[in-house]
Amino acid sequence: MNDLKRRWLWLALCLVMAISLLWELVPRTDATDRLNRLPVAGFHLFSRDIPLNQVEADIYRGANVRKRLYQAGHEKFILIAIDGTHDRHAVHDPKYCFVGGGWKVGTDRAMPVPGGEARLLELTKPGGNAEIMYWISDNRTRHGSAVRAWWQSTLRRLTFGLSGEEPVIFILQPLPGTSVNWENVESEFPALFEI
Amino acid sequence: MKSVSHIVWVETVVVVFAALEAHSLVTAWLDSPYDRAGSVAFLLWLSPAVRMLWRYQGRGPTNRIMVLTALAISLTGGICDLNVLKYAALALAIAGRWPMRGAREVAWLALSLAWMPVFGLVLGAHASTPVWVANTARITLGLAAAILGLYEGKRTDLKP
Repeated sequence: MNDLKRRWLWLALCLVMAISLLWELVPRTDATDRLNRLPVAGFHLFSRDIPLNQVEADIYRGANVRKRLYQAGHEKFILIAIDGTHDRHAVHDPKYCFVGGGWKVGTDRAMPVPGGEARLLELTKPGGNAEIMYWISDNRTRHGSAVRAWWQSTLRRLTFGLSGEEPVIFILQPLPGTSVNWENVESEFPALFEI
Repeated sequence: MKSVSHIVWVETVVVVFAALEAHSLVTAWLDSPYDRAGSVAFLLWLSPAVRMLWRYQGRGPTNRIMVLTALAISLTGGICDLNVLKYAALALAIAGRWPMRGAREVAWLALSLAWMPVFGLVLGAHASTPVWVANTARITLGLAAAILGLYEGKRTDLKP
């Protein structure tokens, strides 16, 4: 490569470095306000915060996370809500974590919820079964696709937040050894579907 | 002996920049069970590049188009915050330090998938593959990349 071409390459490198640095300085609005709207208590609703375990703390290092034990009517479950504005990789397909944690995924089906659909996953492991429910919400639509969430998030970054709110993932899981009737969650805890 | 000015500094700085942009690779390798063997696969994949670096003593011909593509992809990955692009940019930046001479180099570059988290994500989330299978596959592909890159046979076009 001759000197002129090499100079152009230096220029391109400097430009890319400058743009990358400036881009990092652009402030991003996160979903803290939405997560703060998660009710702590209400009519037939009780909750308490649960600390993240070490694995979760490592995975969600840069993300904004709420982990809470809820009792909504007769249904008792653990809710994990993750806002990936500052670490978008924290919002990923939960199957990846569960399979990595030794669970086997059985059926994976859709369940209609306000604004779209949630996913219900049947998980099995030696010594126990569990069924979890999850969805990703941008406060307008709800779906279970991590790929779609990545596109929403990318578009949001490219449009400085004009394309919509940050997709937040909600994962609901029963306490060990118990089960939840997921069909009842919407009627017992409607506020969950307004975030 | 060639002078020090012939060391390809700009291409080397591009590799360093791409590596810094792809720093979350280390976190993925440490934290995610599916990516645990990624670091071994990376070292295996990298071994032909290290040999070339040693052979050329930091000098030698480079692939300008590939280096520029690496920069463009790294920038896009940074703006969109898409790690997969940042990792692809790192692979291209490393591969761009030398000219691509044939299908073997292209295959070596493609095998960089072995150390990328997207490999584990596809196997884990979409195919529900057990962790040990995914990690064994990573090491096997990394080994294949090392053999592809290191084996020269009767080739003479790789001499500096």
